[in-house]
Amino acid sequence: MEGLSTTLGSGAMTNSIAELHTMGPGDTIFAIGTNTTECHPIIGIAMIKAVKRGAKLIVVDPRATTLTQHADVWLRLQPGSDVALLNAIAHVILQNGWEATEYIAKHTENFSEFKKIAARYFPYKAAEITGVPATLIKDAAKIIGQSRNVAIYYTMGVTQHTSGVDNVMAVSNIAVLTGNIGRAKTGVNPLRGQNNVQGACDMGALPDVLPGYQKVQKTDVREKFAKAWGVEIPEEQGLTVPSVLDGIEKGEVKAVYIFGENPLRSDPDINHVKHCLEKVELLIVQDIFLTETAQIADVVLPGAAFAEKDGTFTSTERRVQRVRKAIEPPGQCKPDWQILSELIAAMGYPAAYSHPQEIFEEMRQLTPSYNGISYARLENESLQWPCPTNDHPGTPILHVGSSIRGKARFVPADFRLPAELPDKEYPMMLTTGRVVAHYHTGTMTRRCWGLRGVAPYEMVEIHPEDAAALAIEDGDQISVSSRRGEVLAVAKVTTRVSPGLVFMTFHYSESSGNMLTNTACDPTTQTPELKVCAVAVRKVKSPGVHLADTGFLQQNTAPEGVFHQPALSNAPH
Amino acid sequence: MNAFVIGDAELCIGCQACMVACAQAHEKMPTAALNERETPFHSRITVVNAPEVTVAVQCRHCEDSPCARSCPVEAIVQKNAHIEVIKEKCIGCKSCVLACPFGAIKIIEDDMNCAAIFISPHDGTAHDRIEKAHFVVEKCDLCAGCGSPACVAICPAKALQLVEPDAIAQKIENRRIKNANRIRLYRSQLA
Repeated sequence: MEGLSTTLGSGAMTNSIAELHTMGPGDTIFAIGTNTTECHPIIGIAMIKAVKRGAKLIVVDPRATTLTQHADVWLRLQPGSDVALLNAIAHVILQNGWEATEYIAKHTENFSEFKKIAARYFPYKAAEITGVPATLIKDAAKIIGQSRNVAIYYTMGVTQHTSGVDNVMAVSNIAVLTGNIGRAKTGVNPLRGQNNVQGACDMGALPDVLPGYQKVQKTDVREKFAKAWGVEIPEEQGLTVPSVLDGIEKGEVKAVYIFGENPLRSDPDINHVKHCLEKVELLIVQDIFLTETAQIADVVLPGAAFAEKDGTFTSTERRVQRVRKAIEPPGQCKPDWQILSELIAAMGYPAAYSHPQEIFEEMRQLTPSYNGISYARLENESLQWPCPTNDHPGTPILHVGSSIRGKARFVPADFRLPAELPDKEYPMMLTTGRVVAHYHTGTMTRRCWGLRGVAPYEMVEIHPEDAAALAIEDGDQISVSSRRGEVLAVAKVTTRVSPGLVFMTFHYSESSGNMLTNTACDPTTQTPELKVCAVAVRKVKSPGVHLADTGFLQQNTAPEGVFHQPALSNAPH
Repeated sequence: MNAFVIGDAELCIGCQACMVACAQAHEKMPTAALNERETPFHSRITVVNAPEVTVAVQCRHCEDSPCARSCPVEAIVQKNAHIEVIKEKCIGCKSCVLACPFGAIKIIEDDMNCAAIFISPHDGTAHDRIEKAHFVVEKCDLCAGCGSPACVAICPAKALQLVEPDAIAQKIENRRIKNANRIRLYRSQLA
């Protein structure tokens, strides 16, 4: 969000997913830090089909994924070395004159500074940092430099680093350098991990903005909202998640209200998160299930599931989609808007809404990018913001002509090492991610019979060489520990990971990778470095005749009571 | 000739929807009940998600079925246009598992409708017979009896197809015509 706002003027996906259906010969998909087929399966299918039609595919990933199987060039980098790799690609592009000279002259700024930094990143030097052979870096640069269109896609593999913002800006630099902005089949496209994470950001669920990314520090913005709401808007920025936890430790934060989030499994260093959330005076959790976080809450507010409420979601491509209630929420459950509405009424603010449509109307009057979107239009239209007026058709592609901030800005950065690297005590590197069957902390998906069936427990990926050195065989129960904790899980011996690297998810409550991950953050966004930390691995038990005989699986396959808490329709409140 | 379902590694994204659909298609209860009863999950199709390849693998319903030929109790039979396991006859000897070149046959624990097998332990300590888990084999039956294969219907990448004998004949015919045309073009170029 922050990186692209700085370079282009908007942190959202620049282009639209459907453009993938039109890509073919002459076009290139550049996927970095995204396991698209598992984490965004529909977009993954479109990518693979585009490749089949003749589009080129460059994948940057330390792990072998389905996408790497289809890649023309797979850059298997050391986790956290993205900036060095991207700078080297830029270096080769500049060396060969493949940059978009005219676009750079007309529509960009700070090019000379960028050139200076890129000039230092010789492919052979980047090869030493990234582990990617220089020839592959050159191959990738050639494809990017010579393609008619290059569309860049990225996700958490880019952002969840202490150099996350630098990584995003390095990605942006490549797009700007080659003029791959503001046209179909190009762009810088961060794929959002959830159905409405774009919408939540759009609505101001960030510490420094009101809806529509209107900065809270700006007087005119505060005045506009103060007038509409009849209350004074505080001038200072809110807190990021890590600073909330810090604030609790210092006794400055007294109450935390969490909804639709399970930080006791999704945030790094769970032990620390637990310590803080247990310490806070008042913890309110609003969710559809009694999550690990809800279990330690003082107050649990039962929310409604997607099928039980009306409203809108805004997808990764800025598309506002109407959601319609199919069934009534069970028991005492209520839609989030209703709970919040009743809460602010109880606190003395007379907000009486009878339908989310009224909230949407209020929001769009105050949010220029959503101003032209209404429930009436959403009946027949599918609109992508910005949509400033009632007759505006929406914006499938951002930065057409020139970038939103005026001139696209090159922001060069130097490579920095991740915060915690393997050492004698913790000799291996852990990177985290997801499997296709599960969503986040498994709160919903592990309650589904089929999804639980295909991915019942954590499988820690470890390279055969490392496994052999530790006398670990496929299916053994192993322990993975870091400076912050230890978890038990089953070993999956595979060349999917390189020697020295292990991979885990955060789906499984009983073996969550986030027991181990590091809270070190990007200095600008405070996004934690979930993709790199140092761990030690040791064997605990062989599987013997049958895994189930160890008793391990029975104890560990599901969160407590999963099967006795029936799915969605009967949330246990 | 037997039909079979085949996966396309150029399209498969490894999403495992086929596995879920397969397991569900072979259960009679609604999924909420499967959850409540903790019904074990068995899929007859398996997504191979190796570092080099992603594709679903299942029974090819071979004409010269090595599984059926290796079965000592005739529990694997030809039925209509597919090869089927008769679970009730299976003694769990695993010969078919070893014979199958595709790895398409799975061993599963069977609850035998809650009946139990008792067996004498050979530890010489007691005469008490102990209850033993019962294992049988299971494989793709092309969803016989429930219409078309559930895996093919669910696949979001259209990476699975049901290959039926007619389609094979058609494909062979098409290739003959294509090749004949190639020969014709070649001849005309020579001339």
